[in-house]
Amino acid sequence: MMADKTIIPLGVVLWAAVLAAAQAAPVPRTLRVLTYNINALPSPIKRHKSARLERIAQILRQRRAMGTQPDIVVMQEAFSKGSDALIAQSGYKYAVRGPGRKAGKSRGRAPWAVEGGRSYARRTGVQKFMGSGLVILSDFPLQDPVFTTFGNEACAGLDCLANKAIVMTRVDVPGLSEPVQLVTTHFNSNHSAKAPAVVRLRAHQKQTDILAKFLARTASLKAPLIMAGDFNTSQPPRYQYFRREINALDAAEHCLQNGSDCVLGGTTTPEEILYQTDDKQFYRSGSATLLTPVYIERNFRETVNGRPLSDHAGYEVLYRLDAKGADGGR
Amino acid sequence: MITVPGPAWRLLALAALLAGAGGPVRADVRSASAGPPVYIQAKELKLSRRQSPWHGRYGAGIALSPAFPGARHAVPDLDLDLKLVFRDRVFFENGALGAILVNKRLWRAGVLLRAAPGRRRSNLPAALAGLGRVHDRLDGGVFAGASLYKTYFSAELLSDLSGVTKARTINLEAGYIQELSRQARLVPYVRLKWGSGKHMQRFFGVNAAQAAATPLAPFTATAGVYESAIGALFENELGHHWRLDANATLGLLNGDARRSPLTQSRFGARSQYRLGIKLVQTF
Repeated sequence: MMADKTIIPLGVVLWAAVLAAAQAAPVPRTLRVLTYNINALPSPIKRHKSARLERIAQILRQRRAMGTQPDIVVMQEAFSKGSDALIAQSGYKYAVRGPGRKAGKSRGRAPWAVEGGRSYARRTGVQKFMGSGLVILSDFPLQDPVFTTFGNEACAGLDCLANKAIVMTRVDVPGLSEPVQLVTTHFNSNHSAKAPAVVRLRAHQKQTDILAKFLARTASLKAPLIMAGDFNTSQPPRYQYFRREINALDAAEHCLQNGSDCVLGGTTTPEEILYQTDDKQFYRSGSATLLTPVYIERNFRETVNGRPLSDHAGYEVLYRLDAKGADGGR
Repeated sequence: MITVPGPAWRLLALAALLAGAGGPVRADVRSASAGPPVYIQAKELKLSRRQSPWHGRYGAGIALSPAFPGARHAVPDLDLDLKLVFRDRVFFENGALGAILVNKRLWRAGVLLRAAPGRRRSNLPAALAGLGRVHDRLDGGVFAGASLYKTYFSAELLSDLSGVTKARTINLEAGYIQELSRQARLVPYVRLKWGSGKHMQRFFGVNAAQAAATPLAPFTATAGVYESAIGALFENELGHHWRLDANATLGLLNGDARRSPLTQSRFGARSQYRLGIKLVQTF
């Protein structure tokens, strides 16, 4: 009897200790980031979007119910009204929209501008018909979002008609001593831009230069950084230039290297996360927080009424967050 | 070296990590939002340097154009190029001074003054010298242009302000800009020119005095579309601020311009060629 009386309070004390420990150290040990080009171009360029976008929102809600939803979702090509509904129904608490069509004065001449003839009657800049199409959704508070547009001179072909941009925000992940810096962007497409190859490549390189400049102005080397987006880097010269200019690690390269404890999810193959993809995630650890990709999956690949959810798959990375020791960690 | 990860222990480690990451605290901060998210407004970060409100070009080259309207032969001439634009509003471009008053996404419109060439006596063959000189004139009027991506259309309505012809002209042009490479662009275009009766009579008509002084029969030219043309403008960047421009146009005279005794004579032709090449520096 005496033993029973002792055990019950001990259990209560232990349970209370576990709860207290959980509340005292609310450090999420992981951060799940999804980048997804949802291909919601406005009609009539892209039709039959409603069912697809509703299904994407439904998947995000279902995953939330299971507790496996991405903590942060960055979307590209979220142009149409349907994407507004997706955002509203996805269950996220915080959102940042990239610049719209008029935001950020588009300076400079179009890459195809011609000086000769009666140029006063022609437009020398680029007509923007769409915004950036960028959206960041988060379960955690977002702070100080900033953006810059690529402008007229760093674009090629049809891509110039959208006000493509870079957006960065700080994510207050509970328990972390420093915010995670999150960057998303959508770089110039390749063949679908319908411009000469050299023009497309130069535009992509200029966008990389702008991203490097943007990071130098906004991102701290002390805070962890995640860049997720549609970088359109599947063409080797684009990827090589990007890696040379941008100070960040490729999550896929880390995941696939020998000795890594990273896992590929579902039917994901190494090729579709490494170099044969335009969707990518890059990262950099902070001075106090070590980021390590531990799981990568290409998802959102189902069809609705025989149509794929998007012309891209989702690219989801689970990062392990470790506090660095006094020696700077690993 | 990149290889495919696969050992089962990694899956176990991941499962342990995810299990450990759960718990009361995470469930609380990651719960579903009841409604639409809270939108946080992003601010713009300007990275580009402030650009000069002025831009333009200057250069020189050689042009080959009909000796006079309706002429069979072309004559070479020095082609000086000067363009100055202030804030994309006020411009001086190849003899045209103007202002853009409306500048919308799809179209723009404004006013302009332009010096227009007449007919030089020195370019007339001896047999047609009796046609006489037509002085250079100053036209004034309005223009409008519409652009959609790389396609453009422009229209000009001009009146002679100098009293030389006291005529009106309309110029229409439509073209498409083709990017050939990073440096080169080609603009094929079509042009239509319309002239009022006074314009047509001044350049293609033959009055009694002119008929008496030349072998040409008297002719009264009436208003109409007097030239339709196709052409191409080629621009090639030679460096950051240098470019080579070339222009070729083939015009066909129509209506009374085509029927004019001047055009029908051995000194005239329906086809009107214009060629030009120049080196320009932009700023």
